[in-house]
Amino acid sequence: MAYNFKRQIFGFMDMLRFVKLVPKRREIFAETPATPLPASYKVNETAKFLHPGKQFVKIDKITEHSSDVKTFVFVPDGEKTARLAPFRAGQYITVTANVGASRVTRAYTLGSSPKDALERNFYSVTVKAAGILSDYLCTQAKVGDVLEISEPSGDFCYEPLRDKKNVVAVAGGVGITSLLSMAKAAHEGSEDYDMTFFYCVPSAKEILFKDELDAMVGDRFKVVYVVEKGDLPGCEKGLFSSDLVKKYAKVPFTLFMCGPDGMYAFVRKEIECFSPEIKDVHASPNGIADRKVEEKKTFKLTVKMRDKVYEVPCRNDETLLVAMERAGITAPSKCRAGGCGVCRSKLLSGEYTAAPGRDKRRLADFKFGWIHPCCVYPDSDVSLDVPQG
Amino acid sequence: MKKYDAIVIGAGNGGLVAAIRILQKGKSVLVLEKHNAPGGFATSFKRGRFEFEASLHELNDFGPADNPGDVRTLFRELGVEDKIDWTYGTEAYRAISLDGKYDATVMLGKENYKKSLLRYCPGCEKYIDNFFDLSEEIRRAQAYTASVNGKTDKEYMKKNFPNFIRCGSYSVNEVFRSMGMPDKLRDIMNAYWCYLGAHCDDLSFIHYCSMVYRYVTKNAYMPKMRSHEISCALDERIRELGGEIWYNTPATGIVTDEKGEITGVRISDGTVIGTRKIVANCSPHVVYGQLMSPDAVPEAALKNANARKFAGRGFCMFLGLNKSPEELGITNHSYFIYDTLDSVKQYEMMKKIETNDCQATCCLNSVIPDCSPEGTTMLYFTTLYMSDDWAKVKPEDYVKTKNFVANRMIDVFEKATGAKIRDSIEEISVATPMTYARYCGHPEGTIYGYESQYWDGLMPRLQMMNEEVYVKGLRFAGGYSMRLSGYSSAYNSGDIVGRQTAGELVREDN
Repeated sequence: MAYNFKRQIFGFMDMLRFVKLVPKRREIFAETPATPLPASYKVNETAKFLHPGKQFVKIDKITEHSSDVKTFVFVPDGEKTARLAPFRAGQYITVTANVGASRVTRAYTLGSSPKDALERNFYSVTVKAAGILSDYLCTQAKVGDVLEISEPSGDFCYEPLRDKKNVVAVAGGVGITSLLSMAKAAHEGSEDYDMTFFYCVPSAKEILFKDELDAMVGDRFKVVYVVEKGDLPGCEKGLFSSDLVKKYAKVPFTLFMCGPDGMYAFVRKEIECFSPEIKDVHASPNGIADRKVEEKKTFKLTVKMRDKVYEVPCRNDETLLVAMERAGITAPSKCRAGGCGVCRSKLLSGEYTAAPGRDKRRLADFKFGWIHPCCVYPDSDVSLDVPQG
Repeated sequence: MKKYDAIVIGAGNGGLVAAIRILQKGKSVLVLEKHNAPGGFATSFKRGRFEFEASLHELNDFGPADNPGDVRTLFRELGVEDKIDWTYGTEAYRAISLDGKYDATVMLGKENYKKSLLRYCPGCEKYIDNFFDLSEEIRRAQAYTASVNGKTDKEYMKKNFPNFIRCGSYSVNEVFRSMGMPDKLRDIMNAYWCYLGAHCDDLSFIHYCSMVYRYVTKNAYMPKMRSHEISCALDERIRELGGEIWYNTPATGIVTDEKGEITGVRISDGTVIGTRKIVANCSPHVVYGQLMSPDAVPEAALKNANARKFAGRGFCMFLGLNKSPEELGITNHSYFIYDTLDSVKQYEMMKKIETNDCQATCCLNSVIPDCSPEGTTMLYFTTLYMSDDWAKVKPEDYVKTKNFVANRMIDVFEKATGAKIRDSIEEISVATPMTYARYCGHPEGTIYGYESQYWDGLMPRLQMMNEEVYVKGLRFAGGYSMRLSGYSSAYNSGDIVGRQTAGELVREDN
């Protein structure tokens, strides 16, 4: 026999209680005051401070290291941005500027420390003139200029629950900034690890921030200058090697490296003798450049953005994102390395090739025809639905 | 600029389904979404060689193709069922209490559910059978209610579903106590409670029992490519039907005329897009408190919102591990680890960061073995905070607090299950109430909408949904609405408000 539920002595009293649910709820609403609802909430305010999306900064100081390498100190513009968002050492920001008819965005790792942002309200980035935006910054930007930047982003950070207490840092060229920030973070106590820092340069004159690095040397921080050609007192001559790691660093360690892709391959090979697991090696991703093509062609790129449609030329050696930016379209972008997904757009038609090893789309995005334009080159005319940047 | 018959604010589960329902009636729809991907919490993200599921533990009420649950039937009607590759699990959960009292693994399927419970509670057949009887009647009563669009015949209900009515006003614990159920069985059967986010003295029995029974009879379904696959399928269907979705486009205002009727939605660049109907897949607190001009908000809407209580604020840790589940000692799919299986006590402990050790943890590989590369494992750990404790966390302490909770979650998991995971972490990502506030805009980082308090549970919400349309043409979908929170509930709410909105448009246009 089916079960019969009853709670009170008489079942109809249970029924009555059910019937009263609605009147009771109406009564609660009627008795509640119609006070205005909050315009914001503390957690949301903190979230907004941690992740403001865009920030607006003024160039406060420019330091020239050489004719084509400069460090820029950014402070809030004081109008749209009052306090800079905090960040974790190793993260990057993007800088956006109108250069000629183009609207260009590039990612730069932060070289200042987490406390510089939190307590002293500034960021610094170091830029080497090697492209449209870095050329603009190095030759035209001046103190007082206001720039649009993104919130700090990226996962190239020390994770205490994943990484070992000993960090080996390998920096090549201007790639020093994110690791410099990590060194400062350990030194100032905002992060907790011991670091052995290998700074690899072709010649001693290319070493940046030597005074700052030397000033941090102590129990928990060691810096080794690895100079390929020429000489520098106390430096190691030649290239980075596993012997240098054995000589200076403690094992086991977690490796963080920042430099050109060629350096990453070289360093990975060198440290094979330590049998590192994938989790022990972190490389700061580099932006995706033009590809080499046998025959240069220009295709038609049709961009649907909200209720507008743009038709722009797209060279077969440049990414779809670069083509959009060159045409002045405000397309979304952040990492420019295929990974963060901010530029995620719907492919409506056309053929393309993704930069080898760089396409970090989600599985379902492959299935439903979504692409990351920052890592995709056109092989035919292409049509895209792109979210507003 | 083009005008739309309806604008959907928020491409979450409810909003996407509502859009399809309106499009299916031949009306034009624009979906506005602040994020750059569909689904709201129903999404995924990549770290290294792992693609993490952002929120779905398992889909309720889906069932196999030849014995579909309501959600599969809905997906069939929407035209998305076959766009998604489905798989399923047959384990309900392993419930472990840190006080050492319980470690129980419960299976799905009526027979296996009973069998597994009897292992821990021998001689309790009749209580489980009675629970099934009651559940079946509740299921039939709900099917009848849906078939008459909520306009139920009182006498018919009394005659055919008397038990449904008699238990309809009680909490889970009140009903189980009246059934004479032993504490141990009740505690193990209650372990799903954190999926609904209210403790069992408060949580409506009908609501809880509907969920449990649908898991038991329809299994736990999962899309193979994470919930992002479902969200992409719904997005594609909207496009096929001629609808539009604008990503990176937050709605910043709702515009009404002097009569208080909807005329448009403002977006971040100031543009106003004309429309007659809005489905808001977001919080009424946001709509009435931030999107509408204060003088356009009816008093009754403010009273309603002020009376409600925010449910759990979310926290989730995602781990990509470089060993297989076997190597790590992970044997189950879904772990509920509680300090105590007394949900009332546990709820209290979940109010503070310092005292909350509750976690609902899933090993995705147990249901989708190839979801990560061979020899690796993906685990995601979720907890809720039942107060606004995260509001006290200062920005400078944010990362430290995140790591404190994450570290403790790992300790608790290892201690409770005996698995060893700490040394195998290859990728780690942590989402806090701030993360949820940032991505979805919910007040205080709430992920469960309004809490299912005893007076604000499923039944009265369903019965009152029509009188809660305070602004003509403005309806709510998602966790804050009449079906409460959870994937299936959100899809169902989108179905309801989508059909209501479409119906209203059709009536107005004829």
